[in-house]
Amino acid sequence: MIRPERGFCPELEAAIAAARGPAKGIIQRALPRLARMEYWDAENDLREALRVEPSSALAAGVLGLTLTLAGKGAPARPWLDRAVRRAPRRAWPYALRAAAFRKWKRLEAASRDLARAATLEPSVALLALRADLLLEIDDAAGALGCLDRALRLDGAHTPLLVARAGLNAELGRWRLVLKDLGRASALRPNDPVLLIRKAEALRRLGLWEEAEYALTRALNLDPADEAARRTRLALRLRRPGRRGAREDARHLLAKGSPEARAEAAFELGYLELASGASDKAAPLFRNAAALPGASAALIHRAEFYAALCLGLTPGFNRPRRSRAARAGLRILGLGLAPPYTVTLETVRALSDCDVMFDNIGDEEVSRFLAVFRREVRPLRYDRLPQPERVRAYERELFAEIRAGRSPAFVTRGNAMVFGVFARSFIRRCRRLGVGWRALGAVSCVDLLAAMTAPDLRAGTGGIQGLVSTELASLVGLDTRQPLLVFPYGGIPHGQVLAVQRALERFYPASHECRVYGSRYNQPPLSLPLSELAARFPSMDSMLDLYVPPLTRQ
Amino acid sequence: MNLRPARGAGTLYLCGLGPQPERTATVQTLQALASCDAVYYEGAKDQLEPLLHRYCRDVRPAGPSSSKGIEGRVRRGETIGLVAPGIPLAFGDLAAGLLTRCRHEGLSVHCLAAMSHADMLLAHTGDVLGYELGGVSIIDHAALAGAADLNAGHPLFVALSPAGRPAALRRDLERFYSPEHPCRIFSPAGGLTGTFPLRALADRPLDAASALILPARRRR
Repeated sequence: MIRPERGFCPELEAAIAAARGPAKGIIQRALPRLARMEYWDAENDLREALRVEPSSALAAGVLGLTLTLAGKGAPARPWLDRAVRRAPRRAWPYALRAAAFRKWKRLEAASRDLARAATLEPSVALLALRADLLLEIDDAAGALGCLDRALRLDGAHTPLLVARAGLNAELGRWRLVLKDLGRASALRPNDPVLLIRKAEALRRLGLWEEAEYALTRALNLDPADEAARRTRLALRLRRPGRRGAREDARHLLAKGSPEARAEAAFELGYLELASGASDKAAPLFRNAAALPGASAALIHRAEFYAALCLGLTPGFNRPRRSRAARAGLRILGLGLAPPYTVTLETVRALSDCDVMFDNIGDEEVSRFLAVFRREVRPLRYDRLPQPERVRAYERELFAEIRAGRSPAFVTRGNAMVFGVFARSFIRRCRRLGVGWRALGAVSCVDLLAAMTAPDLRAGTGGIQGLVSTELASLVGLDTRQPLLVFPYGGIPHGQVLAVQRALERFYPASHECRVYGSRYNQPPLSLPLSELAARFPSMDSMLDLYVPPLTRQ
Repeated sequence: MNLRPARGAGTLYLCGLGPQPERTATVQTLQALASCDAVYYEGAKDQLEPLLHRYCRDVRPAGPSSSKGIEGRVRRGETIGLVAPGIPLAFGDLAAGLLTRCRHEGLSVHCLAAMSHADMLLAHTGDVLGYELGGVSIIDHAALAGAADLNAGHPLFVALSPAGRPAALRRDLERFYSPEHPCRIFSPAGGLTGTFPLRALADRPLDAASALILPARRRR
């Protein structure tokens, strides 16, 4: 939340200070009562002020605010409107009414009043309030605009610099984040929170050394600062060689909060695993999972790594000697819930490549891949349209192959189920006579099969998966087996009806089917087949349709 | 998915280990098995026990008579795993019966996803399901025998069972395919055999870990 440091509405305070009428003293008596939430007393004072000076815009406005805060919305509004009518060229009546609108959740109206107030008397406080309000209505660009204006009025306003940095961070504008945090940090050189935030921006910009320096400075200011040490540990774990990470982890394990200790214990296991000592790492992961401060997520992660260690041999991530034997491309899927659904043979294949092209781009997957101590190239072309993205990857992959190295293309799910990349890479390998090896993985078909199996009264003995475009030409179908329909590439607007009609040749219109989305982390939507096209005029490629068996529902 | 069962509540994990467990088991499944008080398995002892013993001390072969014992242990609050090569959907009678009874009793049952023969075959051949094949049907012999209709317009995978009877399988397939329809056998260990006509199926040795592959009936 963006909060100015100098009061809710300095313009109101200034207006009361400058007032000359007989109501001034009574209003000043009401204000501390209002601050102490003694609304009944404050209301009486303000009604008295209006008796002695009926034309007082200030008394009307503050009475409106008092009634609003006391939860009396309907009686408050006329007083707020009267204040605006009596002092239309002043900012404070609009600011008071905006506060009331905000309390009544009329955010657009509140934003309009604050915009008017900030135009009449631009001030840091009003602009900060409006920025905060715009964030509440998800208008980040508008909020940024307000903060820019506020900082032009007062460039040394640290909370606003920090707020603008936070907004730019959400938009991934790390250079701007660093600029604002640099200014804020110069104004408050001994603020460890600012140093931690600055370190994050520096890390995002790849300035590892500077980031570590900022965190070390925060720790020099307060060696017991747990947040700074945890951030430095996370930073050191990501750096090549992970220098100093073990010391930070041990420090946290000895002196940290229960949560920090569990995390540190996990990281000590991770460091052992990354050094190739899978045998020593397994008990450390189990220990981390058993610590009282371990969160459910940490326990899950630690138990995964403990299980992974048992599938590895010590030294699994050492460089291999013979390159010739393993030259060629590897296409590796980590399953639909990476890295958890990785198979043992894929784990071994990851140990056996020189460079990994990470097409998943997930923080947890990146950490998993990092234990293999191979070069990991992150997702780089996600903003390119698909054909260019495939070509860009191809260029890099085949350059590695030409250099005698063995690259691995690492992706989510099973690359061979709907893999645009896999198809293109394999074709090119075949054309050039380059060796390739793809490994199977847990696909969307497998995941849905496991997810829906408990709903069936018994095993069905099979499953059918079809691309949606194939349905129209379908001649026969075993309706006693579950059917998965994949709208690969998406079904355009208006064409879902054709899918529905094709299925209605085999299933009754009332047959209940389910639409699974976002790769099944959400519950499916159940609907009769006859409503499919009405509910989903189009379907994107992230949705899959599950048609349960006809005779087993 | 949080794999840790709630304290005191019994849980049954039904897990597939993929076509070749020592290669195709997922770490997620092994993680679940590591939290089990006992793991029962269906399949070859020499193939499964060395792998499973790394994750759980109490590893036992499962038979038709294991059902009551497993259910009783889950009811007493233990965490029990039942594993088999392949995928969880292709449950045998034991798993299907346990699933039904545990759910009826309100006991917690989790099915974990596993890699299938089809995934492995696609990787082996380099065919991409969404492009080259358009779809696939995976079926076991028992389900095939009871099928009134079949989608023969896309490739068919028949999972072979330990008690595979090639002559009966051929008869069941010939309801949908001509005797000259080409077939291949995919074995996770040995890869794909050469093509042979369906009528010659009876002469082929069928291995329980393999799958019979029939391409689409008409040219796509």
